[in-house]
Parts: sequence; structure tokens; C-alpha cells
Amino acid sequence: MSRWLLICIGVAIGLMQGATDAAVLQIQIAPKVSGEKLQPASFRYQTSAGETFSITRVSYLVSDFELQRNDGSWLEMSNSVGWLDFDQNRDSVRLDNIPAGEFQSVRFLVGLNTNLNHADTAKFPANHPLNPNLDGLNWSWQGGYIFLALEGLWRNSNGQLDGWAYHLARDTNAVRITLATPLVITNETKLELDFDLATVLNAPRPLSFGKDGSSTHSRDGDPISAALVKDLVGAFRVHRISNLTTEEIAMAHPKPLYLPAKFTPYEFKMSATFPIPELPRDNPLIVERVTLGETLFFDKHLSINNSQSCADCHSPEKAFTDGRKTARGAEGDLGTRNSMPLVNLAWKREFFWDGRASSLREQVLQPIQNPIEMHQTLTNLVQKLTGPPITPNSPNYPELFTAAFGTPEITAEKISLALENYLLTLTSFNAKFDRVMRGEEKFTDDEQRGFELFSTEYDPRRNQYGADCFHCHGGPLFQSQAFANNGSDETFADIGREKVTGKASDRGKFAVPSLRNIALTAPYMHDGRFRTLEEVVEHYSTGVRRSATLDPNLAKHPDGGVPLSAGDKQALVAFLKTLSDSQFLTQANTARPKNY
Amino acid sequence: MKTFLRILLFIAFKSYADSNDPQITSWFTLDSGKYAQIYANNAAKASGQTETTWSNGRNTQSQPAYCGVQEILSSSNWIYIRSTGLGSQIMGPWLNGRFPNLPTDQHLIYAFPRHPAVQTAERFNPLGEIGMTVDGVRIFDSNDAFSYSNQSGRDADPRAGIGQGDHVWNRDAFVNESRTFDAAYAHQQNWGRYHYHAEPIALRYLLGDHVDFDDATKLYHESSTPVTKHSPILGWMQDGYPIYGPYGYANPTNAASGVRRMVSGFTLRNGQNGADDLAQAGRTILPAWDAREHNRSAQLASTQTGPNVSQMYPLGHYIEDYAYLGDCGKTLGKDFDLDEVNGRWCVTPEYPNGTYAYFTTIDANGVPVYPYSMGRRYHGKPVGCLIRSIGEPVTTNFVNTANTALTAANLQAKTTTLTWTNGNYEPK
Repeated sequence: MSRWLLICIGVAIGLMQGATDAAVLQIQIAPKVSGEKLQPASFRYQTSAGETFSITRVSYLVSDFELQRNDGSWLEMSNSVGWLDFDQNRDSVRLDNIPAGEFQSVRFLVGLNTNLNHADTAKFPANHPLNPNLDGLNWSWQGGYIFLALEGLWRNSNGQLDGWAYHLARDTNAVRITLATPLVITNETKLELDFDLATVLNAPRPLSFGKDGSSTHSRDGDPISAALVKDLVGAFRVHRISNLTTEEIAMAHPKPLYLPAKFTPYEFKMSATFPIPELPRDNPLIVERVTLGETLFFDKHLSINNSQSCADCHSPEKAFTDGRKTARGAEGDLGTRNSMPLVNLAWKREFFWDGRASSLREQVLQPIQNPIEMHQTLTNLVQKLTGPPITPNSPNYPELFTAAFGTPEITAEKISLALENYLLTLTSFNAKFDRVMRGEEKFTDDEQRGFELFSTEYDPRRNQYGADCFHCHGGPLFQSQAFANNGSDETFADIGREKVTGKASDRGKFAVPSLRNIALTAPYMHDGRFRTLEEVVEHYSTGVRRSATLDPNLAKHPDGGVPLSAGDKQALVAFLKTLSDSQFLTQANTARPKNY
Repeated sequence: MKTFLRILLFIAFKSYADSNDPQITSWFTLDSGKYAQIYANNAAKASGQTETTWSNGRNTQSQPAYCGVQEILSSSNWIYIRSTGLGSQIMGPWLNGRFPNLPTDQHLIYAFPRHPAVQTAERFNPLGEIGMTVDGVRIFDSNDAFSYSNQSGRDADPRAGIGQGDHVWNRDAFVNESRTFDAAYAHQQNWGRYHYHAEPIALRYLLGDHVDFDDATKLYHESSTPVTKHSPILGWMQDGYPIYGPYGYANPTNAASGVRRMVSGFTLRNGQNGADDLAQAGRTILPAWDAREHNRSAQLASTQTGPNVSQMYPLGHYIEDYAYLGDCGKTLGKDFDLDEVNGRWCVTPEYPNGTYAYFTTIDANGVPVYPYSMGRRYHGKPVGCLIRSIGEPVTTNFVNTANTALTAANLQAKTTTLTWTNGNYEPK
């Protein structure tokens, strides 16, 4: 599940014309500001109104590419689509199987045509640019995609750091870009375009965060989205045309590791509203491996003194958390962070609060070895599991490993693969919320109000007075972005994501957790500072603190946060409680082996 | 599921021919996704503290409700408006929080005829609601339902056991009740029905109809700049004709004739403009328009006379204190613009080929004047009314999507299963 693989597969466009002399056109688009390479999160840009600002997010969809032949006719590549994202280093759209030849212009949409925009999001393969779990651009309950997301910070007239977030969406706002350029497509041709963000914010319609507003969600009649539509038309320019010379990307599927001759495929079940996750192809989900992983998860012998299993900090009754402020290790040491709930991990790409592990198999071995957690060397662990059963009830590991991997040999790698298999099966999708969505139950008035507040933006200029939760916790997984500074602090004892990336722009950012089962996973935040959901909601209403990396979607709100009445707060908590999935807890509990 | 269908309909019909019909396009939906808000009292208004839920024991809004129009639906003969009946402006305060009534979500469905019929012999006298403004709020008529009781020698007062009076000298709602209005000239009766009795000045501000808003006092007033635009449609009467703001074309048949304030056809009976003088004669004679309207003698019996004009019963206290200029030797279309029911046939920006249209009336200082919105009769047959449910297939022209976000999912398959088969995860 490496990032590299994702990027490579993601840019490939399913476009089959069956031409004999098929060529490839790679369109690479670089975000620029007034001709210069975009400097992310750098406070160096100015609006025409003289406001200093930075750009932290440039994420957008391009589609419906067409090439104009020299006779004037257009070669349509209908439903071709790409997702480009500056932060994720996604800069290219690859059009396969197009006829070689000479063309005089290229055109495409920034955004999507109506069909694509309203397609069933749950049907896109894991690596498709429109898979919502991949691009993070789907409006979920509101329907359709964000075509272009631009975000950043700006200094307002009071000299204060403020957020801006321009989200262009809705069918009528898809913008057609036409670029005249002689284009000879041979075997592998690369067309490099510049996407000038200074033009997007400036010409012909200058935008000012102070005068025009610091956010748009493209509701009908919104003047900011109207300006963006006008400005986008001239924002793309041809930089140069070249031939692809270097790496031809091999897209071969990785071979499954240690697949036994006989196995039972595991039935991975999920809500039909969820996007299709990218399950590991080299570690197929099979019943034998899931069983082994589950056995390991509940085995106290994974810790140095046989006192603690994974389940001690990730207990199924508490939606796989421990109820403690911060985790307590096998030898009584206290950690610095709150034990994370283990739910719907198949849709995550980074693990731990700071995302320092990029796969579950990488993640699971760390708590085992961590001196303040289970404090066990991998050599020791392998020895323990290989040796004779420690108690009469101990599982027969050589047998379990044979079933899962084909041979009885126990290695740390196989332990990690088995745990990965098990953890990926922890899916929760049968909360009251889901039953309401399926029409089987009804929300109470308070829950309904809470859901409306949850999924409505706070934007007084456009007369929207919601609680603005969905920007970070949107979609059926209630989690739509990876890391954010949620205003917990102004200065950071724990710098979070920065420690992993080394980027100051990641200071104080932590994983955005899914809100599924949130009522069961108190206390809250990376350091467990809030005891109740009421305290959490209060934080987003009055406790948000400004700093340079505060998420733009929070920074755009008034000081402290979104103004909410006592009734609003109560309604939000009532709604959050509908995300508890008792079936998930019961299943995990009854299926659970004895804690050995 | 139902909502999903509604959304589909909404998309399908957005580009429908109805997009040119003012009965569909004139509704104010910009704030439909916003919660209705009130100021509880003057202090809350001064500090900008608003509420989205409220209760005074009698009227309770326990959950936030949206502002005004929530759906616009249509068939070939009818337009249906679903509305909460709550204003888009921040409503209240009323009497600094001491007014006994608060507004509540009314869950209205208002039906308006698409093909207005001019009435002939029948008389329809309005009482209470007569239409709806484009922000989904009720319009009430100019009468406040109380009248003078000759026998008791005072205005009727239900609390004093005098009932509603003789129905001869009927009180002017704006004059007698305006102290209980909020800044939008609106209040609500005891069932929480928020309504306008005079021109909806806050709505005019939202629609850009020559009204200014003072952010410090949070009051609206007529703009002092020259009038350059024809007023927009402010609402629809139950007969299916539109009501405009105060400004119409100078020449009713010429859209290029410039715009000016429409002059009402009514004048106080103070001895001027050809009217008689009630201060001299006493309230012993009804105005000619009223005698025509009720098919009764203008000369009153001694048991029907009203109180003499005084500080307690000043001229203008009753709607019968006004004479129609057409009965005073003046000429409609020359000396004044609006007929006995407060409208005229004319061209408007929305109806370049002409329509009958009502206009709200204000004086030269921007103060509302009788008859405010409509005279004592409709021009057309008032077949429009509130209904409980819609009994025919309709086209959906607008839905407040904030309200419908909840059930947007249309789940046929409840669960998807991915299984490792032939080297791939196959969904089923």
C-alpha cells in the first residue's frame, strides 16, 4: 500500500480506444504563482487588495480531455479524469491508447461533467481518481465532488492570522480550458502545463479575502465561485512539450506473500456507501490469516512480562480503546498519547497519531518493541511463540502459522502480516446513523438537528450557520482528511506530524480520527485532554487557539470557534452518539479468543 | 428515498420553461437554508444576541426552523409554496420581550392560482391573511379585527367582554398595533403566525428595493437616494396577482417612462382633497366606498355612529376614516395611481405585456399609509388559500437542500463484500 504505488496507479486513466499505433500522452500540470513554482504554506503572496496570504492546499479534478486535429475536428476522450494534488505530489494525468498524430489544441474541464459528478462513488475502484477515499474531494451527503479546493491562511485587517478556503463545486461551475498549441504525439509525449494560482485569485476578477469573503462552498449565486469560474479560464498555460524519456512505470501487481496452497478467502464486508478500500494485494485477506492475527492480538505473551496483549490498550468493549488519558505499558510506564480506536483502518494510509507508519504491517511491530509499551524484542517474541506452549491453553502457533502461511516457520514479518489481516477486518457500519440512512430507523429531533449542524458550513456571509464539522470528518467514514492542527494549543509540547515529515508546516498536526463509535472512545484528542463529547464540542465552539498551522477550515471561523447555542451543542452530541455501532462491539467481543 | 427523488426532480426541472414564470421565480430562497432567528428583547438586539430556539410558555420553537420558503411546487393550474412562515431577517423583539406571542414554524402550504380570474358580482371581503410575501411570510389585511362598540362607547376588547364590536368603524391595524411590530413591521398572533400588516420593509431591504439598514440601530428606513428602479415583486395575493413595492412606472403602459412612488387612492377625511371633514360632522357617515362594498347606506343610524374625532380616537384610527379620491372628484390615472383595491393594470419588468398588480403604499416620507397592501376587496377571485396536503402530481421547482441533505443516500444494496478471488479483491 505504498504511496508510490498509489500515485503510479492513480494517474493511469482507463481510456481504451483500441488504436493500433497507440501512443501515450502524459499531461503534467505544475501549480505556479505568477510564473514561479508554488511555495507551499509560505506566507509570501499578496492579493490585489494587498492581503498577505499562503497556499496550503491545491487539490482538483480535471476531466473530459479532447484533442483538436488539424482539420478542426475533436478527438474526444470522454470520461477521462485525473485528480491532481500538490501536497500528495500528484501532478500528472496519463492518457493511454490515443492515436499518434498531429494536433492543434487541447481542451479539458476543471471539474466533472454531470454524469461523472453524480456517479455512484462507492463503485470506483480503490485507485480511481474519483474514489472519495483517495481524492478526499467528495461532498458526501450533499452530492457531487469539489472540483477545486484551494486553501491557505491570510492576515486580516486586524493583523490576525485567518483561514481561507475556496471550494469550487456544482455541475454548472465546471470550467472548460482550451489551449491552442501545436502538439505532435509520438510514442510517449509529455505536455507540461502551468496552473497559475495568481490568475485564479486575480484576473479578470480580483478576489479579496476581506472584501469578498474567505470561504466559498459554491452555493447558488455565490459571487466568489462566479469569480473563480471566470478566472480559471485563463489560468492554464502551456509550459513545454517533450517526450517521456525516463521511467516507464511497471504496473505489475505484487505477488501475494506466503500464500498457502489451501485457503479460505475472507469476506470483507462494508457499507455499500463506503468507497472501495485498497486492500493489500501482497497480503490477501484470508480466514486463516485473520484468525492467526486475532489470536496474536489477544495474546499477552506479546509483551515482555506476559502481562499485556494488544487488546489491553485496544479493548473491544471500548471500541478498541482503553479509556485512559494516555496509554499504560506492560511495565506500568505511561505514554504521552491517547490509545487510538481501531476501526475502519482499511481506509487509512498512515498510522499512529503522527502517521509515522505507512502500513499496518509496519505499524503493528512498533508497540511490541516500544520500551514504554510492550517492550519485547522481536527475536524474543519469535522464540516465545516458536517454543512449547507456555500454558496448557496457549494456542498452537506452528499449526496456526502453517494454515496462514503454508509453513510452520514463525517470523516477525509473518506476525505483522497476520496482525495486518486481522486489523483490516475491523469494520464498523451498523450504527443508528447507518440504519437511519437505510430508512430503517428515524433520528430524534435533536439528532436530526445535530446532523444538519454537522454537515452545514459556518459561513455567515452566505447565511450558513452550521457547525462545520464535515470538512474534516465528512463522508460515510466520518473522516475525510489525514492530519490537521485542530487548535488545541498555540505552542506545542508535542509537535505531532512535524516530527515525521520535518516540515514546520506540519507542526502540531495530528491524525484526524474517524468519528464512528466516538461516544465509546473517551477521553479525546491525541493527549486525552477532554473527558466528554460535550468538552470536545465546546472546544470547537470556544476553545480553538490560533497558530501558524491551524487548519484553514477552522482558522476561517471567529476567535474561539463556531458560535453554537447550548441547544446546538446538545444536538451535536446527540448526533455523535448515533455513530455508535453496538453490533461491531458485540461481534468483536464474541469472536474474540480468550485472553491467553 | 423520497428526498432523493425530489432532488432528481429538482435537477430535471431546473431548466424547465417555468424558469420564466414570475410566480415561480420571484420567491426569495437565498436564506432558505438558514435557521430563523429572533432577538428576545432590546438588550439582546443591542448586543446582537440571537436565538434559534425559544419559548414563552405559550409559543414554543424547541428546534431551529428554517427561514421562509422551503419548496416551490407547481402544476398547470396551481403554485404551491411550502414555508415555515418565518422571516429571513432577524425577527423581533416585540415590545422589548413583553409581547405575549412569539412566532413558530407554521408548516404552511400555500396554494396560488396560476390563472387569476377577475371577479364579477361576488364580493370577497378580506379578513386576516390575504397572501404571502416572497420570503414565505403571511400578509394580513389592514384591519386588526377589532371595531368600535357603539353600545359600550369604546373599541371592542375581548378581555372586557365586548367582543369584536359593531364592524362599522373598524380599526386600522398599522395605526393601532404598530407598537407591537418588530423592525420589519411584523408580529404574530396568539398561535405564532408571524405576519406583515404593512409594507415588508426588511424584505424590501433584502431585495434591494430602495431601503437602507442602519447597523447601529438595526432599523430599516426608506433610502434618501433618488429612485431609479421599478420595485420587485414582494408577494402574491390569494387571487394570484402580484404585489410590488412602492415604485412603479410613471406611465402604466410605458416601461420607459421612468419610475416613481405610486400614489394611493385614499385620503383622510379631513376636509381636504375633496373629502368631507369628520372632525366637523362626527363619525356619522360612512365613506362611499364602504357603502358600495357592503351594499349599505352611508348614513348611519345613531346606534352605528363612531366616536367623535379626539386625541383618543384620532383621524386614521379607523379605516373608514379614509375616503376614496375617485369619490372626491379626482381622476384615477391622472390625480392618483391606484384604484379602490390598491392596484392597477400596468406593465412591469416581469410582465412586459401587462398584468394587474397591487402596490404597497408609503407616503413621501417613506411611512406606510392606508391601504398598505390591498383595499377592502381583491381584484380577482381569491381562490388561493392554505391547504393541508397537495392532491395532484406536481413539478418541483425548488427544494431547500439544507433541509434534505439528511436522506440523500439511496441505498439499494446495504452491504458490499470484497473477497480475494483469482488474485484480486472482487466486490459483490
